[in-house]
Amino acid sequence: MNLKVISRNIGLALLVSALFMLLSVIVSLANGNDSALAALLISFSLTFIVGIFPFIFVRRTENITLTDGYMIIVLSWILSFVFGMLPYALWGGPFTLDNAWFESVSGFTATGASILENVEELPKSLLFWRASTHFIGGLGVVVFLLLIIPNSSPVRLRLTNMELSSLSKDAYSTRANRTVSIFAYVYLTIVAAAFVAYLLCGMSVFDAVCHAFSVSATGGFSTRTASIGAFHSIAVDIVTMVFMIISTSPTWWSSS
Amino acid sequence: MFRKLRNRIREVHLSLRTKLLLSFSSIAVVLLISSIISIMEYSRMSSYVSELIADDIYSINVSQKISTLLDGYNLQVLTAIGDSSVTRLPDFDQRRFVASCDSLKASIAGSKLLPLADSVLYSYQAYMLTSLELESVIQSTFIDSRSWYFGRLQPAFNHLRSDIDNLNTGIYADLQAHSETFERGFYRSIIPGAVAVGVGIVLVLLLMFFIIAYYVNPVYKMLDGLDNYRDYNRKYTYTFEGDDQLSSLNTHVSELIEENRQLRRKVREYKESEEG
Repeated sequence: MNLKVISRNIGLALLVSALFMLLSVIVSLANGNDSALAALLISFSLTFIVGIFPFIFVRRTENITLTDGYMIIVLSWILSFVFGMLPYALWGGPFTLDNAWFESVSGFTATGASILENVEELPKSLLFWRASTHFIGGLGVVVFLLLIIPNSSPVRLRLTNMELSSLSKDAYSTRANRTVSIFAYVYLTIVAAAFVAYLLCGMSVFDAVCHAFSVSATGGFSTRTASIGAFHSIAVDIVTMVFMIISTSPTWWSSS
Repeated sequence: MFRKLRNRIREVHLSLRTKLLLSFSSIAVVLLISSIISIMEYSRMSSYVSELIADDIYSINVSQKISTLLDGYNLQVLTAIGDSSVTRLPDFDQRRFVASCDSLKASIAGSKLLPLADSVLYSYQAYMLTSLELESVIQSTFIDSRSWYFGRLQPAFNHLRSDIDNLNTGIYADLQAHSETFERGFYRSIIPGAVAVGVGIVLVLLLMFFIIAYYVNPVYKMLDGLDNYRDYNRKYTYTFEGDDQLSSLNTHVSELIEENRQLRRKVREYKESEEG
């Protein structure tokens, strides 16, 4: 088990979270420095420093074993949950440590369950971060595959009882890489399409972005306590239903 | 453009000094963040709650002053009624009492204790209205002063005391709630600092791991390789991944040893040819 490679790739996953924390900081600044600004700035600083730290020492490696890959995935998820709860825990309000952990895990796993009784009490930047956890979680599986499969030595990969010969290893890596890239592009396209559709239904840009993140990950976080029902719009309901079905389609394709 | 930038970033090689400086600076930044957070959070929380608790303590003191004033006056009235030798009617410092009530209301303004403070004032007015009858009661020949006291004034006084006690109870409950808020707030205020310290500890452990993996272990292995060459004339074959001065040092050591081996071989061959 190569701890250096594992730490570097975990750092990369944390940098993704840090990027979205930074975007949440920008949302906070755009909303006149709302109450979550300090919490998000601190969270971004800590997550960024921890994420970038391994890059100081560990160079990019072309060789990740399957064991390393599994460790990267597991630890990246766990550490994303831990650092993802920082904005909630630091902001306070209804977020005790266990509530913050719950909200973070629910976001990243695209579960959508929430401890909040009144979603509207959260500042917009924190709502954006909340929706971003859905986006990151939904994209996370694809991103991890992108990270690991191109760098894995196909000689070491075993699919059920099949062993790849050296003649086919390049072809396998390229095919796998392409498949994962397609998944990523499809996911991003679904997010963009959902965003445009919500805008056309009359949602604000902020609400459209957050709901696009949520529906594409088939999560459940909304910017309103009453969720989609708060908009009292058949069009919004239909768009949500359509995109929930579309968002599950990559799963159908991959299983077929 | 993004690919060019990415390739450029990949080509950047940090020196040994830069890596160590960056890593220690990161830890220092995290610890600085944690201390700033701790100081800010604690001072913000403590000043907010301290104000509330200070208001509660002030309210309790004022409430006790009011009680003392009233008890003193009521005792004087009772003395005036009971002791016929007393000729001077008791005097109540109304201005001081009303001022105390006003300051009490100001200190609990905005809280749910305000209705209780208003009740005290209304009860006080009722009591004072009744106590104004004292002079006429004492001078009257057909009104029994003791019956008046126990029948009219004492109930008004009891009602007033009851309202004051209710207000005191409310203030103490408020104080307790604020103390609990302070306690909860204390733990919450130290969480950000504790988190940052935790992150700092994680970074320290990571740094320790990287220093051992990238610098200490390679130095030990280089030394082993040199000892093996010097003692047993074994070939120096040690290599490790790296892009800084230590890997350059290893490469140079390897080259020097190879040069040394070849020179030794040449010297040996020359000696053998001389002897032959």
